[in-house]
Amino acid sequence: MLPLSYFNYYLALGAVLFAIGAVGVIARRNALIALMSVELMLNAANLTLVVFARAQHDMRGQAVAFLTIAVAAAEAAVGLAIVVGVFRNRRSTQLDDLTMMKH
Amino acid sequence: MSWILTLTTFLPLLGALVCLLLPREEVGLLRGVGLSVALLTFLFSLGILSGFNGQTAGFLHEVDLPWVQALGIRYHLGVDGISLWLVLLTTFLMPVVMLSSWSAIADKVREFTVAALVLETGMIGGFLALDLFLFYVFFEVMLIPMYFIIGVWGGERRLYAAIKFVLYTMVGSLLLLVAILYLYVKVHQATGTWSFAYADMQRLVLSEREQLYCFAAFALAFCIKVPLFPLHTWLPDAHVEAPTAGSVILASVLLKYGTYGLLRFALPLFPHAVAEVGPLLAALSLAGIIYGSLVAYAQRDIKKLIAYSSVAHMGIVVLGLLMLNTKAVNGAIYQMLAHGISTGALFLCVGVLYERRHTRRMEEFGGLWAQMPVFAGFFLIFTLASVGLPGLCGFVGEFLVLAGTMSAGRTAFADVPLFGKAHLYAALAATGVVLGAVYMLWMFQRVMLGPNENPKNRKLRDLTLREGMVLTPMAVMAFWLGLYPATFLRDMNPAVHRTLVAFKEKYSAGAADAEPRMLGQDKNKKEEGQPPAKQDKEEGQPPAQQPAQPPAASPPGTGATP
Amino acid sequence: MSFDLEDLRRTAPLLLLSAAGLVLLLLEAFSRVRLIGRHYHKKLPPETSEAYAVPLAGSRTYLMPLTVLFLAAALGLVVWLWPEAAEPHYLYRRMLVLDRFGLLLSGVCITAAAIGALGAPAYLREQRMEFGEYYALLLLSLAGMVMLVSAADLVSLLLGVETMSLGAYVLTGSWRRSPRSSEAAMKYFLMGAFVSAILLYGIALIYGSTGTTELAEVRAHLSEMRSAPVFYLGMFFLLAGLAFKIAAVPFHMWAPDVYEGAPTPVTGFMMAAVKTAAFGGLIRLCVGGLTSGRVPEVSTGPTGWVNVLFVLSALSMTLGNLAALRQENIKRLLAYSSIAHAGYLLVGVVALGVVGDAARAPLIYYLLGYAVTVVGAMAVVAALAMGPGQERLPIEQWAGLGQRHPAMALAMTLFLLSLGGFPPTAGFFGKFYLFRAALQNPSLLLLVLLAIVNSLVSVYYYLRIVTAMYFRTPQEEEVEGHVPAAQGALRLAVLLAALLVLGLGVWPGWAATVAEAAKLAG
Repeated sequence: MLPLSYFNYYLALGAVLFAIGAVGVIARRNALIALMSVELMLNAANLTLVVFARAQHDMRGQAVAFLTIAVAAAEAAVGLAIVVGVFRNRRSTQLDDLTMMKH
Repeated sequence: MSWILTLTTFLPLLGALVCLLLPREEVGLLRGVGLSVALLTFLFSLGILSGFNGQTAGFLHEVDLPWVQALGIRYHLGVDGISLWLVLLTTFLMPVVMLSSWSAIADKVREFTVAALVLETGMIGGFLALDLFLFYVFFEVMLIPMYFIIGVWGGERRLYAAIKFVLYTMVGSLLLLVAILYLYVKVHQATGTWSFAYADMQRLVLSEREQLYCFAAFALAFCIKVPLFPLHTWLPDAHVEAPTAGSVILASVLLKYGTYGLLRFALPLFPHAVAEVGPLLAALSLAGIIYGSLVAYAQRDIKKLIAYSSVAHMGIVVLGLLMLNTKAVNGAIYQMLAHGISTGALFLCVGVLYERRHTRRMEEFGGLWAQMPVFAGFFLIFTLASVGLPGLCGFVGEFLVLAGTMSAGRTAFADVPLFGKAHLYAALAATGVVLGAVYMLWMFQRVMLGPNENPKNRKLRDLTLREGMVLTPMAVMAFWLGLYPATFLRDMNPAVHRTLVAFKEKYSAGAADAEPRMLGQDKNKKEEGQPPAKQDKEEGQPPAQQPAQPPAASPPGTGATP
Repeated sequence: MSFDLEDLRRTAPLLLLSAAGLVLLLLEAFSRVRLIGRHYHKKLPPETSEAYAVPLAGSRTYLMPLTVLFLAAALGLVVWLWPEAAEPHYLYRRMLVLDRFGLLLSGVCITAAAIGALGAPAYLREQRMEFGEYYALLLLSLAGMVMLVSAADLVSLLLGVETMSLGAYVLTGSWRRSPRSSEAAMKYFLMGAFVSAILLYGIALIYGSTGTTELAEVRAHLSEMRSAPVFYLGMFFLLAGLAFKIAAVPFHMWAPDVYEGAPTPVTGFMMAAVKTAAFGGLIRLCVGGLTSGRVPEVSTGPTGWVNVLFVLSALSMTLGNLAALRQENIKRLLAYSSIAHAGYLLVGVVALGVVGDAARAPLIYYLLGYAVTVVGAMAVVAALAMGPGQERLPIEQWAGLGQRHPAMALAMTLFLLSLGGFPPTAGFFGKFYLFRAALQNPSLLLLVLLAIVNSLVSVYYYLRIVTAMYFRTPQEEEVEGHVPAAQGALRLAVLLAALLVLGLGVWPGWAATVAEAAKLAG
């Protein structure tokens, strides 16, 4: 019982968004952009969940997506607070500047 | 009397805890407590002698309590004629060591006393443990206090020596742990019970391949400790850097763990591996005897010379153990005791010199005989004891080992290739003994005889009363061991005999094919909560025997009195 | 299947911890706090002594005892639920499960947190970072852990991980004046958030291929999964996510920086509790969801999780130990050692897949032993700080402590010996117990040998610290008149941890029995 083929487009979109987000976290050097990329990844996962739920005629995936939105919001709040904390200490949000503990 | 072993083992630990609570400024009190705990332990340990009547072959005063029931780990202590004298050697030496470090250890006295007492618990417990897990725990517990003794109170390169000591020992002991675990799993496969008991391990028969690997792990662990020839490089460093007390304990007791472990565990548990690798080990021990003697001859540091002489002496012990006959093995154990006394005492003598002159180089000394006649007398006794002069402790052991080696081809099993060259072994070992006489006497001559030319040596004081009290018991023991060996051989012999009989039984029963099996059948063990399904593994094995308790055999003549 | 009040009762520890966290948060918000110190956004260079020199009023002293009280109560609830958890109970429509495994690991986390909390106030005060939300966050993070170790569904697993981590991120950054702390928080958070996304995507893929998120059902549906590549990809994502939380190589990059930068009690809390909970989650996932007798290739097949974890285990212990060899900073050293210990623990998880349930009790025992050991070690590090902003981190500063602080040095030696696996400590018995389980299958002999070689290597760097403490004389005189922060509670924390380490090592039987009884549901 594979999902109908058009679901695959959505799944592919989810995968591409996820990959873009992942590359963003790894490649971009600004904390805020990295945070946004993480949000993108979470939403890509959400999309995938919803698509699977739809394909399987099951509500569970949709419900998980809601939970994820809450989780993402909490993460964003904490993340922004931490960015502010870093900014206060060193007036920069560039990740390359975080080198106090390199050995 | 089953409490006697527990008491002897843990009394020092109790003393250590007491010392830990004492204020560290109370140096005199701490030393006093340390000495009296050690003395008390010695007195209690004499109680172990009760019950030995020259016929006792098995273990006495056994305690066998569950420790970790779920895993089959038991608190199982017992003493037989082999461990008896090693325990007594330990308890006898500790007060001497405590007394000898009275003024040598001036710094951190509390820590020293605690370390020494914890070490004593580890040493006594290790000799008495009859559960391999328990043995391993004690074996490891000894490591850390010794590490501290070398590292804190040692000489200039003490850090290097201490860490080298620990790492060398750990390499062996971790392999030992794996092998013990392997045996433990195999015992479980064969019987269905989890057990670390020595008796069970002894009845476990493995395939030849498994035996070889396990023996390699056991032998490596113990040969590092001995130390056998190519593995000895930690010893000179540890000895030279350790304080006198550390050197004495190391030489007299810790090295004995190597040979004790071989005799108690490595040889009886894996007879087929011994038959196979024995010649190699014998060759290595011979190499150690010769090499140790030659290198000792080249030393200028007295302590290093004695350290290398230890390599040679312990080589003789290993050789004796490998000959697997009563005479040689008795001799080996005897040599362990003798080496403990004579080498320990020599280190004490070096300590006396070092405290006065803060050097151990031979060329700094000379002609001390006139200056310190009493000390020179003691020094001569111990030198000659180490050389193996008849009438002193070194002679009996060496003689028995050499004699046993000579006759090994006749007395041991015929099909073991080990004994084909027994005469050659004996000849080479005898050469080593002669070399030993050369370097020891040469050292004595350089230090004690000749003119007293160095002005710094003109004002040396002879022994103080305390130092005399340290050396006198050692001298007494050197004479006792040399003049009346029957005291010690009487109880040693039956245990040795029993060990060898068990070895032969296990050897002649043949190695297992694939599945491990148990030697003999102990009905009681089986019925204690066993899944009966395991029973079928017991098929096809030789008729039931009870190697753990052979009939009280009349000990054959050993040539005890030379 | 309606909402059941019984469910509430059976999640009492979780509810208590959450409620207690909120109560503490409110207390903090409404307590009258004198504004202390100069505010940090005045443009002072962050680590100047002047900024620290401003005295702090010792307000809010009641928070710590209250926290410990709450934790004790939670522990009491765990004990209270223990008998009834002999049989697993599924709660909240099979989102959570009450079983002894979950309860025991909750107990381990709570104990570690309690010992850590005892030591915290002295450190926080000395470092001038009294931070009222500290305890609230601690409790909320713990609530996440309890949820994680009793998760019966991938969704509750994710929620547990998130709740646990959000608290830990903030705690890591809670030393607001220290650039190291906020830097560590930033790194931890970014990597953590990245990994949450990976976890979520993995859940989505598992959901897509098996049609469910419930662990037991996932297991039941393994044989009829729709698309094996999607399933395995999802499984790898989930494993990677949890491997990140336990700091296994190659997902460990964050650990040294975070453990070094975080305030020391937080480091202890993370090394002990976060790791324990994450291992709980990993075991739930692997054993509860991904082990099925009918489809053995999911666990023991070539691409099964056993092989993945085998590789992670070998890498973690080897690289962790090698990296630890050349560390000069004690927190960083223990961070790498923690990576290595993740490797040893993974041996246990691999054994769970290969020899089965026999490896469960050793794993629990090891987690308990490791948790109390590192919490104790970190408490000692906290206690030996030499003043505000002057933690005793480089190993050379530990020289001569055996004379200066004999009790602390002795305790630290005990903890280090336990980490190195010397008898008679918890660490030794844990290793023995674990290896015994693993050796029951000969195919793990190699991994066990590797672990043993590694513990030999580790002895070298653990003894380096002991060597520094006892064999070296201090290089410079310490600031005269500075009394280390080791107050009663901190000393008590160290003592408790030391007694536990020793007790677990000398009488391992009771803990082993309890661990044996801690059955996994399903």
